Amino acid sequence: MTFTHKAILLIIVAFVGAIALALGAHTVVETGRGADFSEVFNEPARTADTDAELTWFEGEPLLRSLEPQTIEAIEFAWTRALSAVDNAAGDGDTTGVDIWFSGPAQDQVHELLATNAVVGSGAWTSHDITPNFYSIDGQILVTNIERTGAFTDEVRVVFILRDGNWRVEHLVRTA
Amino acid sequence: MSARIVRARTTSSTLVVAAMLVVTVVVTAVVAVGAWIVLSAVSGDRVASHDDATAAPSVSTILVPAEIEAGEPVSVAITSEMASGIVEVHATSGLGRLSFRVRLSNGTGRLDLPPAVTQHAGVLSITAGDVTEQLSIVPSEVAEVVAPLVGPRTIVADGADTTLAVIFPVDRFGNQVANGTNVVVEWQQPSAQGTTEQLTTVTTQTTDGMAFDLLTSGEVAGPTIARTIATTQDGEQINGAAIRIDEVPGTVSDIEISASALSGFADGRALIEIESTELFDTFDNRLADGTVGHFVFDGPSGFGVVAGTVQNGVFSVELVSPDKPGTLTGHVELHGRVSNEISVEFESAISGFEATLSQVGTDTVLRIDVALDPTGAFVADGTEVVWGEYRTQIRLGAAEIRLPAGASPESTAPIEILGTEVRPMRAEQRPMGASQ
Repeated sequence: MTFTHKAILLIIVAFVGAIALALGAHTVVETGRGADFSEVFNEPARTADTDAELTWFEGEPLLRSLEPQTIEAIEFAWTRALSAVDNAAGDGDTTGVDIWFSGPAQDQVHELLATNAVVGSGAWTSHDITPNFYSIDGQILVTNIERTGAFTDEVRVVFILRDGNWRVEHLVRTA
Repeated sequence: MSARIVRARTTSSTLVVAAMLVVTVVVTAVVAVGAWIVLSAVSGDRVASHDDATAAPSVSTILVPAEIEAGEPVSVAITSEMASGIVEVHATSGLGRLSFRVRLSNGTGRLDLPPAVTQHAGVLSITAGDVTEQLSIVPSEVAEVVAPLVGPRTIVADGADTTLAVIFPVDRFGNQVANGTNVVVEWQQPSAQGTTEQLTTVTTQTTDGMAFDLLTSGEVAGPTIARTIATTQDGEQINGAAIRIDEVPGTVSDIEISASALSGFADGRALIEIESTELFDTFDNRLADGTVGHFVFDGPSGFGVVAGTVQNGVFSVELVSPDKPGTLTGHVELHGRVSNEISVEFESAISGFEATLSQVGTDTVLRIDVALDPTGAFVADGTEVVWGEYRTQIRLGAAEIRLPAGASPESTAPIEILGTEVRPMRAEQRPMGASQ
């Protein structure tokens, strides 16, 4: 092998090495952040905080007593709804929005997402939930939720049981 | 001389290699950084811009109206001590946090909030730097009464059962309307034939965006229609869709049954119909079609339960006669109520038969002949013949059981047909192949 050939080979090896170094470094950073290895190059920019603490409080007397499985289902629907907004803001996938929101709330989320300015639902660490109305057929639940994160706010959320899932039908920030 | 030339060549080659190495390092570093940037962009991270690299100007004030009606245009005015720069402004609503970039000019900047933000009622927080202001977006006038959510959809017409209509009037942007919006709920309930329909009108007001009304059932079964109407401040009526619920009959008040016949033949085939009189609930509402009841009985063939339904107010069920003579007694159970007891006598369905046992060659043959029913006709084809562990069926009034060589059945065991037992007679032994 002549000297020129060796030099060219050296340059090629260095190029390949640089690419491999960049790939490996990116992988280490992304997996260190908790991303699934298979999604390292395809994950959304932000994920919802599903580790938030959810606490239920007693509110107005209800027309029907709230079942434990309904409480679990509402918690699931609420956290999934917030995650859906985060995911849609991150990678544009609105599948979750169409599942966990319905009626006017679903329209409003889509309209906000269309502004391309949504950065997320908010990094909430706790949700204090107070049920104020539960219909006698167990299909409509109205709650006040006090959310705490970087700041504290209050929302009134109407959940409706549609097609087997609880979904957010109305959401108004009251404070 | 040649040594100097060799040294000179070696020195120049080394310099070339060194230069190439430097170039390679620089080029690979550029490639690595470029690859990192590309990969980060693919995974969605925002690329830092030149503006971010500079310090964000501090914000002095945010000017925004305290309250607007949903849909009104809103401009947010930002002031800063710095004459120019980019200010990041966050707007937080119930559904999400939005981020906008406002360019300062002569220390001021302006952000026109998009309609998607100002059409959504609720408290909106506007934050820039360390300054936060609140904008309250109130819903506009009621524009639509979404179809009332009524449940349960079926209640019992017993004067005590209840259903609930929940109404969510909304403005033209889908926002729940303000507290105090008037809502009228009309309930049109069925009435007894010949009397006017029962119409109940309830006026209520929205609280926390909704109104509801509880309806107590009447005593007449039939459809009930729920209608809702919201009224604007100008008195304009906004009608919602009508929803139907059903007030259904309650539990049966009394059950009286009879059988289509009080006696029959125990042939295991004939059908006896058990039927009730017309069934009503306590308030004289005829029982709904499809109401399930059970005929529970005990008879010659044992204990049994047969399900039946109510059609046109009458419960009926078909009972298959037992295959043994005796008395069958039973009653109907429906809605937890028990009817009167009825009895049906079943006589033997066979008047007699001949049974002969013979040897044909090495085989043992049991022959049944002239199996007649009480009318003198042959017993129905398919009627079962039982002889100990062996079984066969009657055909044209006769049957045969042929046992293989070596089998030695108890010749005194009776043959049973429809509960009637006969012991076989021994016939003369015949050689194999001989006709009977």
